[in-house]
Amino acid sequence: MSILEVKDLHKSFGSKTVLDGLSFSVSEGSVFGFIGSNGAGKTTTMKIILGLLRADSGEVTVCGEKVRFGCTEKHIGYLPDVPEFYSYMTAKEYLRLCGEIAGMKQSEIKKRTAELLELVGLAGEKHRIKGYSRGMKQRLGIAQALINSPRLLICDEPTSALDPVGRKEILDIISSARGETSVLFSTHILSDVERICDSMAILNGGKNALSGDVSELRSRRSRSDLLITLSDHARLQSTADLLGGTVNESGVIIISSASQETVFKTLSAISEHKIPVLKVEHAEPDLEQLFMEVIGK
Amino acid sequence: MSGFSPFLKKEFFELYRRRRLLLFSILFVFFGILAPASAKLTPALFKLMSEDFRQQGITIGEVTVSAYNSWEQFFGNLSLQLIVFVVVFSGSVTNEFESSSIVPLLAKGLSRTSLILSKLCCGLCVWTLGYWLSFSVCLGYTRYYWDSSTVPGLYKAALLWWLFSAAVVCVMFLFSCVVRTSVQVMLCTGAAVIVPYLLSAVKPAKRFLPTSLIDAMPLCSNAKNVSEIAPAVIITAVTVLACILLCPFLIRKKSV
Repeated sequence: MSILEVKDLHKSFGSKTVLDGLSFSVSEGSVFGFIGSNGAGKTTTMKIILGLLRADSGEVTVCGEKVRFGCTEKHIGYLPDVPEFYSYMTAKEYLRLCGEIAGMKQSEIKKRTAELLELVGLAGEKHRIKGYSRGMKQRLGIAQALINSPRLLICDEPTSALDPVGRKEILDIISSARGETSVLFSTHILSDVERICDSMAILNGGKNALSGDVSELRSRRSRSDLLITLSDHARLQSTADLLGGTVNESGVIIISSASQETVFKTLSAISEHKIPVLKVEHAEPDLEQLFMEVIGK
Repeated sequence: MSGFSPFLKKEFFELYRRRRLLLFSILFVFFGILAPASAKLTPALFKLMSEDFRQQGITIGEVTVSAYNSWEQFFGNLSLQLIVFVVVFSGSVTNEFESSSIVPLLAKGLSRTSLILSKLCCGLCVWTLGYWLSFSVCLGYTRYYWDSSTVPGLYKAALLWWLFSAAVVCVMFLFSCVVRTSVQVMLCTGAAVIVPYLLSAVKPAKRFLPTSLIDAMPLCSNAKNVSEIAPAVIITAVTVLACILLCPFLIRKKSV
């Protein structure tokens, strides 16, 4: 069952078309990676899903309920890309405010606050938010987004401004929330998607350029190149011609989209012609290649 | 009106935590004391300076002050208090949108109507309480020192000044829904007061203009009747109501 359905969404700002018939769906319990380069329209899409921005046309449904501008569905938790909080409050006070606005009971707010502060590692933090680092703010952002146990958690580039340690912490917290909520996770960091997402969509030109299961897409669509490094650079071009590859600027011979059969044939040719080889590498297909392929770069 | 009560609570909590309540309490009490104190000190000041004046050939007779002078000073100082209030509150709405601190709360289901009405409610409450606190302090001291018979129309004058100030506060929140920065809010609110003030130079227009409500002393001494400025009173009251009704409509168009 889909927790989120986006159908034929259009949005323009003046003459600039940002979304041009975007459609995708997020199934319940999954972590969905929403990929796109900077300015592709990821935040615009998320704001429309949240009812914070009016779409020119199209339809968004969350848990089967249609989203209207100005009315955010109570099933959604939202973590903005750079979350801003009231600096004069403590984390506990802020979570209480969020719980009260979401219409939760005081006893429930107390319980959830304790659980979530423990989850995000801010349980012992008594200081006001003004002294928080960016990573701490991001962790508090996740706690506030989860306070009312939403069925859908929307995270807008939660790791893009963090150092590697902060990134790992945030990805771990999002992964641990997987059991209780579905996650829509926008990013342009593809390794983050590979690490925690089950399914994904690539946004390009305001449209869903490619979507599906992460591992399936990777194996189905990506090229896996064969990289050969020679010990004798004098025979580089003639060897490349012989093997049917090209030479890149680092002096490595690349045989694009090499199937297993091509790999065997290449190895036989190397052996037959006694080509001095330093390294032969069959590169694992990754999302970066897939992304570049889809956006045409 | 989802989230009105918690957001209103947050507004007062913010004023308390950021020491704005303390600042306003000191300010309003100070201005409440300042008016009778300066009226009381005027004769002593003139006496002190009389020797200098005499050397310059100016003779000063006996200076007598009354409750009238104290209230004249009080109403004169009110504009300054209102300016300080507008400066402090002008960023109340715009800062939330500029910094995006409102986004997580809107995403939690806070309605924009609740947002603006709780801000408006908090602003009006603080101004009203501060205004009457200042008035009460001034009233206490003035009654202690002087007979109040010189200001028979004091309460109606104070009430009309409050009505004008409430309209200014409401207009400020209305502009907060339309423009982007606190500076723009201040400029627009200033213009909304200055334009009618300049227009009041045209005599026939004066009785229709809200600024005629702050011409307090003729009302205090009963030299002017409220009926003379009834159209201005009605227009000011309508302005307050119109702002309260328009704010929720306008804030819906504000982008986040």
